[in-house]
Amino acid sequence: MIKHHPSASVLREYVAGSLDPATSLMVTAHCEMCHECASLVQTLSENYGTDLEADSTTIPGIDREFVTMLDDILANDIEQSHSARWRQPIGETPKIEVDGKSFSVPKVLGKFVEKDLTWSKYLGRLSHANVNIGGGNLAQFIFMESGAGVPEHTHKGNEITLVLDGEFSDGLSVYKNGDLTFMNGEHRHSPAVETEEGCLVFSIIDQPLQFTNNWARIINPLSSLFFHANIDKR
Amino acid sequence: MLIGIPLNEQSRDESKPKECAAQMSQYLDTVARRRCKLSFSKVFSYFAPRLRSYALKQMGNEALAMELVQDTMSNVWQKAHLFDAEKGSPSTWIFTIARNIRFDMLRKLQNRKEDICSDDLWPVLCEQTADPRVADLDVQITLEEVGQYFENLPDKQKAVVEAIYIDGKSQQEVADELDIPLGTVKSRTRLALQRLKGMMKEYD
Repeated sequence: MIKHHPSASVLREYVAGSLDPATSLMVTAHCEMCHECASLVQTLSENYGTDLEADSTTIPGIDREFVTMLDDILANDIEQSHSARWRQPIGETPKIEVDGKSFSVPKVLGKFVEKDLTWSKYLGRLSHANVNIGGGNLAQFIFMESGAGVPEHTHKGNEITLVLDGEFSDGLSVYKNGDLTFMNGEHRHSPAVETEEGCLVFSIIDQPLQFTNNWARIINPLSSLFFHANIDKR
Repeated sequence: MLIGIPLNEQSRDESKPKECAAQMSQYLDTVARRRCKLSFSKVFSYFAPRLRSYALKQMGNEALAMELVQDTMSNVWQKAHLFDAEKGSPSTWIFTIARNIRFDMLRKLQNRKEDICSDDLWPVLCEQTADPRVADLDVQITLEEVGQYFENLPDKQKAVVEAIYIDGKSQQEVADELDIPLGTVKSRTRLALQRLKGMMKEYD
């Protein structure tokens, strides 16, 4: 049972196309795992379709512009369905491998896992593989083995996390397959995995983490360094 | 100019939403099956003013709004075969096409560097191939046939066609990668395909 969903307003913005690309990516991935949100998205699209039909206001002279436009469009009579034959098939579920196991990930993330992921370990039982989504974001798959944890921290910016497999808890709640969480400067948490299977998540942050725990505070400069060294270097 | 096609048929089309949706579905179907220009012009005259109102509210700029209408309706004309009445009404489908185009326009305007475009998020206009083996064979034959003609294309057209039809990228992705306007990608594709078509006819 998925308990952590994007809010109604986030979903509305997402369907309208006004949400930023990174958050939209996360919502799409969540909807592949969450039937409830997928069907809300469908309903919202239908509502926007109905709204679209409601307003047919025109201005004088626009008809002539429309006639020209129609001619332009019709002049381009290459039937694009033919291109279907040249297209590679799509729609297979992408997989990633870590810790000797194979995991299916949402299709929308497929584009970013095509190239081999490079996993590196940090903080002992935690592995991460960065993917380049651009835009100054740090996006990574994180696999936490049983007993793994991240010291308590808060966020300078936003952190969005989608649980792909397994479960973790962070002192605020427990998160399982398909759960999507939004964290910002108002939240302090310390994610940890207690189950045997470990937990795979996909996470995007747009600013470095800020550690709050006494001893971990000394690594804040490193956290910042880590963030900037790992985001795409365009 | 298309003479004799009245653009204002709103009085009839606005009668009842359900009937109107059924009628628009039928027109789209005819466009898909027979490339019927008259049917398309009906869909166009119903949706173009509505898309303009929508786009104007969203973009707040008449020129951008009209660009959005034109791109959306071009896709409706060229991809009508992807409309599936079982999955939703014509207005929902057309909204999602317009939304995708707007998303990419906004991304460009805001100069966002994320490598995420609307096709990745909402593959509304993706050509799907059911059986991968059939596709592979088709790809082989078609590429063999086209390969020799393809070499004769100008480099710029070749690059665009290769990215779209061989690498399977969307036109928007190609525009982003080559850092050229979407319109240029479209016209290069069109010119290249016309040329290929011409060459194939010549040697047929």
